[in-house]
This record gives sequence, C-alpha cells and structure tokens, in this order.
Amino acid sequence: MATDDEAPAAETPAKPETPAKPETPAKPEPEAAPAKPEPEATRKPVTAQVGEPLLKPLAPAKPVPVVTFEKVTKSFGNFTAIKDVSFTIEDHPGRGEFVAILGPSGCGKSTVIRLIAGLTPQFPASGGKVLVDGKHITGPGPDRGMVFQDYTSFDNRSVLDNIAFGLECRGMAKDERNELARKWISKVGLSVDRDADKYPHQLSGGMRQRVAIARTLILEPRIILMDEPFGALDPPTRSRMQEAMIKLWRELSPTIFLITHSIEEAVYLADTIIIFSSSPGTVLEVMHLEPPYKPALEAQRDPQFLDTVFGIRETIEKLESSTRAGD
Amino acid sequence: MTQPAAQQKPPPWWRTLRADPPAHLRIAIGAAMVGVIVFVWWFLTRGEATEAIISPGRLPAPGGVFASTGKLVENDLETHIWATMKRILTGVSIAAVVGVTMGVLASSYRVIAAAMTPIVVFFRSIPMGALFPLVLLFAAGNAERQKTVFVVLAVIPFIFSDTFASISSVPQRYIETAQTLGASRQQIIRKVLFPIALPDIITGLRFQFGLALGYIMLVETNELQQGGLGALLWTTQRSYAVDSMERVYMLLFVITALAFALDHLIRFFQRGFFPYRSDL
Repeated sequence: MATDDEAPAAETPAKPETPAKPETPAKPEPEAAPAKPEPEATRKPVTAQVGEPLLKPLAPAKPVPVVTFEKVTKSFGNFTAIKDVSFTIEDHPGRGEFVAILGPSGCGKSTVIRLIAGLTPQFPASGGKVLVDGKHITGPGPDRGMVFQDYTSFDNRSVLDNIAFGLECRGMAKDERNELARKWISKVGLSVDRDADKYPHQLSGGMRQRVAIARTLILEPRIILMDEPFGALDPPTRSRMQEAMIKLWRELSPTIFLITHSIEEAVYLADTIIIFSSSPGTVLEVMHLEPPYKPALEAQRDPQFLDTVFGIRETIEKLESSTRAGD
Repeated sequence: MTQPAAQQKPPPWWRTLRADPPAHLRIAIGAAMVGVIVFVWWFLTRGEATEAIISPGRLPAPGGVFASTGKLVENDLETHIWATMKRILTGVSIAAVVGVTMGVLASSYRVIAAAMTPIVVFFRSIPMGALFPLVLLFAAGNAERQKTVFVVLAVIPFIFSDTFASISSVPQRYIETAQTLGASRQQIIRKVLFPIALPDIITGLRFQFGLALGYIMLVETNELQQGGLGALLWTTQRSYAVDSMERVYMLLFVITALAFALDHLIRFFQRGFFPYRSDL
C-alpha cells in the first residue's frame, strides 16, 4: 500500500531523491521517501511538505486513512474513560479533514485526542487499535501537533523563540528558523515589529493562543490536535481565531481534530463531527457537513446552520439528561 | 442594610485585619522602631563605666560602636571581608554546579533520585557542626580548603533538594507541549525544564548564601591566622584594645549588612535576567 505513494513523486519538479535535509522547509521534496515504509520514514513526508500548500494531486487507488480507531478502550483502574470507540478519518489529499469532537463533559474527548498525540497516561490504549497513517503510534511526535486549552507558552522565551521552538529542536540554523518564525507571527495575525520580542506575560490570552497555534503550525504537522483551544477566549476574539484557523487550514490542509464545547464552533469549523456519549465515552454519531466558506458571524446566522446546531444540541441534551453526566 | 453604597466607606486600615498602612507610614514606623532601639541602647549604656546600667564590657555605648568603624577599617577589615566572601562564593559555586546538576538529573530520571535519597536525607539531617571535626581531619594541612569543603558539604544537600523541587514543579503540560513539538528528552531538560525552573533554582541558591555565611563564621574560628570575618570577630573580642567590644558590635553590623547586600545583589540580577517573573 505504501508503494502507491510513489505515483506523485514523479510529478514533482525534477529533483533528484536527495535523502538530506528534511528540515529544510523551503524545498518541497518528493512526497514520501517512499521506498521504505519504516516508522522513521513516516515522519519525513510531513516535514517535506513544509512551506507551500500541497498542490500535488495524490490519488492512490486505496488511500490509507489518516486516523483509524478500532474498538479502542481506555480504562484507569475501575474507571473506563472510553469504550469501543471506532471511527475512521479518511485522507483527503490537498484538503485535509476538519473533525470536531462534541459531547458532554467527561465523555473521554480528551482521551481520544491524547491517544492520537501519544501522550501518557491516556496512551497507550487498554484495548483496540489506534492507527495513524495505518501505523501504530509509539509516542508523541511533531507530525501530530497539539494546541492545549491553557496557553502553554514557554514563559522564558520571547514570542519569536516560542514559535521557533520546534524548528530549534530539529536543529535548524538560527537565522533560518527566525525568518520562518517571523513569517508565522504575521500569519496568525500578530505584528512582527511589535510582538516578536515580547514575552508571553506581556500578551493577552488570545495573543498567547495565536503564539501556541503558530508554534504548532510552523512544523506543518499532518495532524493538528486541539483541546478546546478557544475555550478561554472572549467571544469576539474567539470568532476571529476561528476564522484565522479556517484560513490556515485551507492553506496547509492538515487533518484537524478539535474538541469543543461550543456546538456553533463545531458546526462552523468542521466538516466531520463526532458526537460522543458519556460514561463510558463512546461514539454516538458521526456527521458530515459542508465545509465552511463564509465568515464566522455570517455563517452562524444562516438558517440551515442554526437547524444543524439545534439538532445537535437536542441530541446532546438528551444524552446528558439520560446519563445525568455533565457539570 | 439599604444604605446606598456611595455612602459606605471601607473601615480604616487600623481597624482591618491584614490591611497594610500606607507605604510612607510603614517606612516611618520602621525608622521609629530603629530610633527606639538606639535610644534604649543609649539609655542602658549612658554615663561612666561604673554608672551605666549595662557595663561597657558587655554592651558599649552606641556612639563608641559607630566610632570604632575607623579602627576596624585600619585593621584590614576589607581583607577579612574578601577572605570570607571568597570562601562562601567558592563553596556555594562548587556546591551549585554539583547540586544543581544532580538535582536536575534526579528530577528527570527518578532512578537517580532513588539512589540519592539516603545520602541527601543523611546530610540534611545531621547538624553540620557535628561534621566539623571530621572535615578538619580530612582536609588537614590545608586550612583554606577545610573551610571551603565545609561550606560545600553544608549547602549541597539543600541545593540538590531545592533544584529537585523546582524542576519537579514545572507543570507537566510544558513537557507535553515540547513533546508534541518534537523535542527529545534531553532537549526537554535543556530547553524547557531547566530554563523554566532556573529562577526558582537561583532563589534556592540565594538562601544557601545566607546559610553558608552562617557556617563560615563558625569554621573561621579555627586556624585564626587565615583571617575572615569569623576570625576577626574572635580575635577582636580577645584583643586588649580599649575599644574591643565596640569593634565586636560594629562587626556584627558589618556582617549583617554584608548578608543583606549579597541577598539583594542576587535578587537584583534575578529580576534583570528573568523579567517575566514578577514574583521574584
């Protein structure tokens, strides 16, 4: 199956298969270091796409799903966080999928995301299979970027150094990574002149979350995991961030998983919504929606939009009253 | 109960628990307290030696104490200060390099912590004075080294524990963030855990300077010819100078001022280096 990936390699501008510099983002490399489907090789194509939107048409006969959950169960002692969770998120080359996870509090939404990220103690699962690109996860990695709810800016680093952190860990030269980081500062709507040298404590919550998003996206991860990233923001900032997210998503086309408590946010942003029920958490429904094309505020006034939101709200409320979960 | 809020005033600070008086008043109260102490001191020591309530052999009059500063300076006060400072700086520095390194490693790799625990518990629990004879024996023949080694031994377990605690209290979320950004374990230690904990580690070191100064006073009473403030204190008290007691009291002020200055110097640098830590 991995050999299918070789097809697009031929279409990229003539460039000999140099194995070197996967960390150089300026030059897109042939798609897959395809000859070896070893675990190390799986991370290379992700970094190789860095820099420009992925234009290459990738049409393998039978694409490997980006994320597959097969009867995944996670228990902590007597407590079962999620039970028999199964879903598949297909690969849409050149587009990426925006997946929102909705559900009552304590239904194991975070468990799902942290299992994909490979973060302990949720990882590894107690039962079932979690596959990313058809392979088992061995731990956290930069191909699966994560944005947490609490802004985890490194307090000791300036905005620029925060954003360049991942590149620094890859060993990219200072000038090169700073230049890229500056590009990303403006991409997430901050000012290079005013904000680059600021420290996180000088920023507002929304700005800090922009830094966290830039720091994750600069690595051009294949999968972006967001655990209520806008939960702590005020409504205007929140809708600005949603629009920024949509824009970046279109540009980079990663697969995004977003946990949210806001049904509007889920319906606006996502083209797939996974609704969870609680105790123990399991998938109740998977919905497919139209991807968003209008600005946040406009789209959210659309009658059809409101219908969808209302439908989901009813479903979740029914769930919450029947399980008496929630807080 | 139904009174409009505008007419209500908060109770004044002197009728409110934990309410601070205004800043200028706080300083004035502090200054007044110093004045009271000096006055009581003057009152207890006034008049001729035979009339004073406390004899000048025990507590000399304040005027004489401050006047003895000149004599102290003439008698190489500066040299003694530097001798003491050099010992605690060397001792704490050596202890910091070893203690901080071990603390960082032990907090990150808990197998090291398990191995270090009994040693640290022993050295934290033993009264350092009890080790003094042994240090004298082991570093015999090199009085300077004795003193430094003693400082190192005295502070190293505390530096280790403080560093361990500082690193351990960095929230797990930072580690997770770094992991999802592709940092290796060593990179997490070097680029995340250590720099984020560093301001707290240095606060720990600051306290150790205070402790070291305390111990060095004790150790310097051995091999008096090596000098240092502890030696100077000891020799001054036993000297036959007319104002020996005055000088002893003055020395106490000098030592206190030194400890205070050292503490604030480190804090000054801390604030400069870590502007993002408003709590320092």
